[in-house]
Amino acid sequence: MKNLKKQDLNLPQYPISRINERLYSFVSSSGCIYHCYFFDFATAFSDYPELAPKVFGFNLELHFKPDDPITVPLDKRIAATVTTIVKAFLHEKENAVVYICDNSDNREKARYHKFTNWFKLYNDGSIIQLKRIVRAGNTNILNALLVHKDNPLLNDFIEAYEILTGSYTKPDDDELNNILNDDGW
Amino acid sequence: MYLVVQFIYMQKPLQPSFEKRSAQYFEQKAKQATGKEKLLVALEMSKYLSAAREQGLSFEELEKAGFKFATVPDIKN
Repeated sequence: MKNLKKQDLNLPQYPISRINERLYSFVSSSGCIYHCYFFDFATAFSDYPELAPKVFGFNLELHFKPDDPITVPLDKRIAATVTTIVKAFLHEKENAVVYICDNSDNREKARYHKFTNWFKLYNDGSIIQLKRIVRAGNTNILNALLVHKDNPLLNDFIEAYEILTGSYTKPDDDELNNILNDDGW
Repeated sequence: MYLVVQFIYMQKPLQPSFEKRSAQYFEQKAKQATGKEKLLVALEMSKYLSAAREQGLSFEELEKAGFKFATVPDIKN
């Protein structure tokens, strides 16, 4: 990733088709067709009724792969295309996105590193990304939160996400009283 | 003949059977879950949606089953 040349970052995205009001699609130069959509993620944020309707999961699916695809090593245009789609969705500064890596084929680590690096490389600074690896049951859940930096609920989304992923403990009432009554630093 | 059949069987492992679910199924699971377990339910739902679409279920059919999706904005290429 460090060896990426500056001009690589300027590679154009693939043309994005809005198939219907729920679905985007794009075709890579190898002939693969990808589908992207955002689904309701409210159940995970049910403790935060103000935030829950504004949190969406993001699925990127390989819809079609040719029998004999043209090999394109490290196709950076896919990265540019996917980040464009997510940035467009977050542009209204209303919603947040959680990307949760599919572990069905044990390739969740590759997906996690790929996706989160795409956002490192193609982020113009407008999107805040938090990455977490969470252990629940016997499963490692690799996921990331994405929010526009000017989203008025940014801090609330981050706090809720950190509590959900176990990386933040909300102070209890006693702790809050101590903090509020402490006049020193 | 037996060998041929066995070879085919080895080449194409059985696909796990797809069972239709409703959004309510995941909502109930999430209600019972606490903390990080809620993410586990979200992961399961995300995988279910991909599997359902692979099985040919449309967004309309998934919405009838209670799933919700965002309306995506137009993107100028």
